[in-house]
Amino acid sequence: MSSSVVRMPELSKLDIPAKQRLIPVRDKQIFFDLRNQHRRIEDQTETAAPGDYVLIDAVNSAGASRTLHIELGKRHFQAYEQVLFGCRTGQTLHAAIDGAEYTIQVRSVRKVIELPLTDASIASLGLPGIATAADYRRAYLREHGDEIADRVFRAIQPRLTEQVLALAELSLDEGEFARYNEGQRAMLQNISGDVDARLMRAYGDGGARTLEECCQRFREDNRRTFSMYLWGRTLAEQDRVTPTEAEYRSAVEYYCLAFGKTEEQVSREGLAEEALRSFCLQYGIRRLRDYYKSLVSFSAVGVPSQPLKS
Amino acid sequence: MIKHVDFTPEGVCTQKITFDLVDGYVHHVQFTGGCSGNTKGVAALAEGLEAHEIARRLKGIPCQGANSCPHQLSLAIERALREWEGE
Repeated sequence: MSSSVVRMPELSKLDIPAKQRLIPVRDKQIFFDLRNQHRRIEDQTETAAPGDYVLIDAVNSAGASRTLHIELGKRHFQAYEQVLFGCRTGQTLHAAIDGAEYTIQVRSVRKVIELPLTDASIASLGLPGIATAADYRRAYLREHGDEIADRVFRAIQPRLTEQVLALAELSLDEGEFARYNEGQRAMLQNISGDVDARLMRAYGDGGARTLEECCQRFREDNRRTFSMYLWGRTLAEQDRVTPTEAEYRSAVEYYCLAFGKTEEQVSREGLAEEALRSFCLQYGIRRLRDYYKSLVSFSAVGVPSQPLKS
Repeated sequence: MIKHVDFTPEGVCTQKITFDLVDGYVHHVQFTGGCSGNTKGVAALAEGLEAHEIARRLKGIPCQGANSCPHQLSLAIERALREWEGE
């Protein structure tokens, strides 16, 4: 008997919190690039205030000088900032900084003009199809929604795969799984040269666990991965999906690299199916990701909820 | 002139370098990836310095062969300066 999935998990029963289905996207993220591209700088006509850039030449009593360009309020040069708040271009200041007397010549004070996030200012940029801030938010979500959903999926993937395995009913052939586990050990041995030392580093919590405990944790990880592979393989069979030529080659190349084999050995020893495990595993994860993305919408200020997939 | 720069380095651990070029001075350097402490240190030291001077000091620092994160920052600065001076 070989391992198989007795009952496929119903993905609709996955518990995905509302915040991960309706993802809030803030204006800070949406307008980040636009504001960066359209920020301007001009001479400060008032006294220097937080956020202004001040260019100074500072000379101490020993004659040592330095030129600094300081953004007020950022505390990179705190001692100087305290002296420079309220200064004007051309002013000469005298101050004690870090125990030394300094003469500070203020060469320029510049202020940053941010792009106002109003409909009028955004319309004035003349971006195709964008007349309002809400248009820009919608366009941003259309363009970047997929990558945002990908990031969230990557963050919740371990929890989702745990749920998938809890919802499925698997028949695991312990002999087959033991061979898989040994195969994973062999791969680590091939990559690291010392599988036990590698497992102690990965699972040992800084020496707090014995080698036996580390092997047990490695085995549990492998059981999860093997179970996910079974699910992915069943899905691929159901969907009648087989790897493309490029995917097949990529899977075999990876297998050869990991196990130190040649393609000829893989073919001669009938290891092609084993080599294709990574394809099945990835197929399951891809299907899970697609399912998650089918649920995702975004919320942003002034924009009705935007589904990722319509 | 204030210019935000996004630079994708090549051949080093850092995946992205961003900074602002403000009137020819460098601010807000950030490295994504790479050795955390070292790159934060480079960013802090670069804050408020003249861009040409940073590029001059960092260019050619070796780590991955003749390449390194500081070297890539120098290239990013040089490219931004060329674009700025061409504008």
